[in-house]
Amino acid sequence: MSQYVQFGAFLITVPNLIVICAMIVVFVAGLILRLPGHKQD
Amino acid sequence: MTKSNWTLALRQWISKRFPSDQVLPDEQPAYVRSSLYLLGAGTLVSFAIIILTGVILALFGPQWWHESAVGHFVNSLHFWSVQAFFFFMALHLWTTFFMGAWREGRAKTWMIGVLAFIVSILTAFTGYLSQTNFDSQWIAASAKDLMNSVGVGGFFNPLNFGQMYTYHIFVFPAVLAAVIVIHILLVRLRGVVRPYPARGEQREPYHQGMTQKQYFRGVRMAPYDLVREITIVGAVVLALVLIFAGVFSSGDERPLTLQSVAQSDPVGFTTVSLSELDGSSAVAGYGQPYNSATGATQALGPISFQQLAGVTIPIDTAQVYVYGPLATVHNSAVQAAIATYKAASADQQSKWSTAYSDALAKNTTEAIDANGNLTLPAGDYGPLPTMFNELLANARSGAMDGILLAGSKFYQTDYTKSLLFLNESALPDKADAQHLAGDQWGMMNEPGAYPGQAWLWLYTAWYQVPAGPFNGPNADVAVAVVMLILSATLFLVPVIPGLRRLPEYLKLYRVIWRDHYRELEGSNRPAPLERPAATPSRSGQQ
Repeated sequence: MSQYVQFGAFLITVPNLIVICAMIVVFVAGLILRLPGHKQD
Repeated sequence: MTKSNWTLALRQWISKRFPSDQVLPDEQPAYVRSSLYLLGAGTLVSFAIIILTGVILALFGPQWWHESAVGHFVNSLHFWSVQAFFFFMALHLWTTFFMGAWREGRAKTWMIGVLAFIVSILTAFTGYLSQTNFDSQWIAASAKDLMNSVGVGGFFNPLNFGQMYTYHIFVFPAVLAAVIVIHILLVRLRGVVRPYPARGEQREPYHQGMTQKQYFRGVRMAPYDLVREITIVGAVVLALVLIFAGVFSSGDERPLTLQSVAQSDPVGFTTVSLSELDGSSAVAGYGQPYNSATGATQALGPISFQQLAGVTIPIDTAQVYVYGPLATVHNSAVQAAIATYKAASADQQSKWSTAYSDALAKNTTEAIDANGNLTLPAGDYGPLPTMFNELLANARSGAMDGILLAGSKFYQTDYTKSLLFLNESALPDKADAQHLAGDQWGMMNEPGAYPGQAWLWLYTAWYQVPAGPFNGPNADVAVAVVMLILSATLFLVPVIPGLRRLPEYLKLYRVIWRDHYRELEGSNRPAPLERPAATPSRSGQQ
């Protein structure tokens, strides 16, 4: 059974929390990083 | 060739409607520089892995993925590719929202994309029901209430494995593949949307019906290799899926059976059986589509879609769960007991039932004697001990699982009767212990330490609201209506005033296209144009 993290009245499993955090990290990384191999200058 | 040549006409139509240099472009606007542009490709290759692993799983069948190590690994690949698919698709959705990607004639592209998201949820939902493990049982038992509440449970029945399996491996994937193809073609044929115009920027004004060439006039183009990009993204996603499947595997908890419940909890099994006989069970008092009771019927104001849909899966609980299984027993004492019970008055039946139920409640040790009969204190239970000890033996042998599934037939894939019985007590007890209940974000969770259906959070969140319509007798229909409205809102973002301009105010697009804006600010000359600039279109839906 998964471990849980509690936010007020809400519980969320650690695996789900990891996925949500990973989505945010990947989105921010995507904002920062440029497409590899696209030398346009 | 003549005009009557249909083949030539088709070829000309295809080449005109789907120019190869647009479907498979070798250059892209220079503003396409953010890595976020890869998320669509990530979604697409994840879908390809899902289809590939799904076809293999379907060809070999459920036994293979439950009992074979190779089968379970392919099942794990399927699971993690689904996780990757939703991961990338949700991020792709965020990205295109912040880009306002529906602008300048791309509303249909957005709407088709949202449709793909919704069909994907349905596909994944039926996939969870098709796992044929404990997770499937619990999700089916939980989801039936929502389907029944909106009146579709009779023909979209989560408890019917065969039906859900067909939806999962054929109907929804076929629809999803078609929707994805249309989405990609729209993206390719219309081209990637231009950044929001910078202050003072001059550019080709958008007008409906303009060609891609006209749309990109004045836009600096850069070399682009679509096939190479898809291949590299595909390799990376495949590697990630392989690693996750190899390292973390996937959950596959054995399903409950009537046999396992009768063996592990004979008192609980008999208590539920008794409630099925005397009509006090949840199913007996449920309502449509199983009977005409009102215990679980839901309504939206004065309208009950559930009642309007009628009794389409009739279940007489006494007959299905007690008389039917006992009719297969060739034991004169048992048949005589049934005859005695049926011949008794309702008042007498109620007295026996109450006494027997009270005695069962006191048997907290699950005690059974050497003959497999429940050990109960002496009392006036009438014929009930004879009937229920035989029913218990029937279930403990595994016979009742087969009887409820197939009846007198041989092939059967509809587990409605078995799951409704298990859902009286055994399923919710086990699910609650694993934090899978509705008030525990249950639909998002997965047994074991695996990520669940995080993309369903907006659906499950409403069940967490402690008051109001989401926590009352009509909770499911209330959630269904709210989600219908929210899904429609997402679908219609391009035409909803205010909402469609939200990305302009959030200004995250300034980060996504920062090179483009820097380039514009760095040059003191206006973008080359062949005619004077006009006010840029900000909506331009088609």
